[in-house]
Amino acid sequence: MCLALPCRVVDLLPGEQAMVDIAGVGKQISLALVDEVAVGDYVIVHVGYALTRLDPDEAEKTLALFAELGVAAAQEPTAWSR
Amino acid sequence: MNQGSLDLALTWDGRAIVAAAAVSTRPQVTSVLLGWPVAAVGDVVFRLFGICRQAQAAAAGLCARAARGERLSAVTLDELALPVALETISEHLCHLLIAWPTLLADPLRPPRVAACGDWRRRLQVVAGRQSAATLAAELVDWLDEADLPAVDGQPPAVATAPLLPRLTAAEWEDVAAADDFALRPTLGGEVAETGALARQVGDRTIAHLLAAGRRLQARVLARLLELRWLAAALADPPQLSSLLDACPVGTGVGLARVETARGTLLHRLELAGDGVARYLIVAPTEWNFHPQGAFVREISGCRATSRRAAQLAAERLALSLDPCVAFRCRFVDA
Repeated sequence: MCLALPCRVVDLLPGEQAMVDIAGVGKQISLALVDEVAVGDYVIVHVGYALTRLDPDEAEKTLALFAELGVAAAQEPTAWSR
Repeated sequence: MNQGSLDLALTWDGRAIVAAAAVSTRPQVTSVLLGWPVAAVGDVVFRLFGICRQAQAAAAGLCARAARGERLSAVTLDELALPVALETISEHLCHLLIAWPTLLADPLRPPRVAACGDWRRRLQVVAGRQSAATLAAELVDWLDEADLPAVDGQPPAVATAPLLPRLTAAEWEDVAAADDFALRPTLGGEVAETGALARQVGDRTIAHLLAAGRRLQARVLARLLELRWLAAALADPPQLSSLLDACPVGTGVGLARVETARGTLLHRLELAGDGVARYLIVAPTEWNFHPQGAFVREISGCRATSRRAAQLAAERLALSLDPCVAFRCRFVDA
């Protein structure tokens, strides 16, 4: 299950590439599959490609969900969630 | 937190991969759904998943409706299936046009990123069923002229996993209740392979490829056959409803099945009042990368005369099974 962790675009690079910030770590990705991405936008990344562009409000809501999950995941049982 | 990945550990003795292990570090996310009102489940699930998100959201929505006792008509299911079908087409394209050429690194057949991007954009702005069908038919014609990945050369597997049959949501009811089903799913005590190959196994050419031990080629061809089927189904509304269904399991409990690009996706939801009390998601990757599943079974015993050949064989097999998260192959001492 690929999680939709929003990554903030911090720099646009030549050749439809961009640098994104993933939890404080920079990573170069391709923007070839999405349109009109600007610095400050958020994207969902899978195996090196941005798949979806998110507006900042939507991204913040999703990040809040993952922040909650960050706590929950550590406590989660290995089978059913109760 | 991070998205996690698949760690594929290979034991190579100089002649063959003699053992393998698949370990997932992907976080389980269903706990975040607990306590949410049932009406919000579809939106939350859509927000959580990066790929197959239409399928995930459809499964969540179906599950919620089933848990409330709703029975859905074939027409409704067909409408719900449209975004799932379009997403599946898009995922198959990325697999065939980008993922395989990137791994094979043939300078004569580079990844077709721009073409894939163009098709994805066109699929995303489809307005209505008829335009979707027209576009899908155009896409299939284009694919017939396009080079498909050349995945010859993999030695036949010593052992394989059985292909997962297509079951209805109701048929999954008892199976999905097992305690460890979410992380290590089995059917009748057996691991199984899910995906396009399992769904297209009735095709004669696929059967010939499987009989000849050419399983990677069969998986690639199955994607193309599925694209053709989807194009036809988009033009013939009742067919598409076979991609998904749901059923009430008991009072306040629903189960949904959605066929995604990577295989069968199951959701099971239990309500307490109007809130989520328990939630189960079984993604296709759980089947194919089960500790004794298709990847481990098929790569174990694979002949390879060099470490590089062993790694490439493992990477090709993993890609053919198409995990929904990044994977890494590494060697451990024999």
